[in-house]
Amino acid sequence: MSEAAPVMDPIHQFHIKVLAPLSIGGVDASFTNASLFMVVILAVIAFLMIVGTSGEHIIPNRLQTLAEMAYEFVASMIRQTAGDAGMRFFPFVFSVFMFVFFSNLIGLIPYTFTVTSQIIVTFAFSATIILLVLGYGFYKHGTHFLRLFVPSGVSPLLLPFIVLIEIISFAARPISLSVRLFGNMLAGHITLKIFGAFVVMLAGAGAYALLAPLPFIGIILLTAFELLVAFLQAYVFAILTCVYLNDAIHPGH
Amino acid sequence: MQDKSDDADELKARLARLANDLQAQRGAVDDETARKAEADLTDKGLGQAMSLGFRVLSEFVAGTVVGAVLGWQLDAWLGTSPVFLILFLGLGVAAGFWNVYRLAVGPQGRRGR
Repeated sequence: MSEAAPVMDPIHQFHIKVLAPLSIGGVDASFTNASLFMVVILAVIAFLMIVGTSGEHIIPNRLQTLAEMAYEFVASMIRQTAGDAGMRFFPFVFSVFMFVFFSNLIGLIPYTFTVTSQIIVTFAFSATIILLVLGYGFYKHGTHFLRLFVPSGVSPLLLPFIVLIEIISFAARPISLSVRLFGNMLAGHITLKIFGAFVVMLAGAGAYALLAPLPFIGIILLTAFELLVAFLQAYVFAILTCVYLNDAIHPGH
Repeated sequence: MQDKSDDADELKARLARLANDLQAQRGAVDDETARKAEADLTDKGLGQAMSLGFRVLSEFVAGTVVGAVLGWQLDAWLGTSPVFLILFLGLGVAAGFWNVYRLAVGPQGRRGR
């Protein structure tokens, strides 16, 4: 039973393992496998961007093409959703997009750890984004920023309800933003793991071994699908960041 | 003298033609990018549809949950259980529906602006 447990435990992959215990002022700041993979993600992104932009060839090589594509993609996304004024947030949105994208992508490699499958990571991201929106909105527009919660053209009778609803829907943003990314990653990885367990169980079950290739084909298709989800979720996360930042730049629609 | 004014006329005509061509070219490029953007929005198929579905789900659930938690905490704070819980649960559901509605009409509203 104890040998079978790791195969059958689809949650096992999300366990945080402490690699180097560390405690700063009573706060547990140990270096874990999550921290390790964050460092790996940062290293991959830094490698891509630094090496990719160091050549500056007129005819770009592969790395430079990748770096330029990433830049163009995020830049056009920001211009479309938040206008040219949004470009001042380019470094932030680009960092968020690249980190989420690469953590989703690296998490798909077997035996790796998916940083974005931890709700605290995604929630820290979305809380930072919402705090940035609030901070920039109040800094830029002062109390005028509160007009965001007061849509124009609503009858005064309904206004208190609409304002309350707007405030609740604003407060729901960080939660929906973080839960969506976390849920997609968690569900995808659990599904992959369970299909993998099916293969092992069927292969070891006598005559039923004939059925074992079926979930295996499923895994192949699911992996391709997860690749799409990895990109789409990073894209959705980044584009919603732009939409929310747009509210801070132009409140009151 | 005659030659020079001919040259100037010809130059003007060429400039006008160039401006026309540039205009046409720019219009064509704009059309193409607009069409491409449209295709990008509609043409991603299953993945796009699923991510939209997930967005609708999470917006709705988050609105409801935030409303309920706000009401619950207000009740706990003011000792008026369950008045605020009921009120804010209703408001949260309304906020969830409002978010979903905005998600559905969003692109058109933005285009109209």
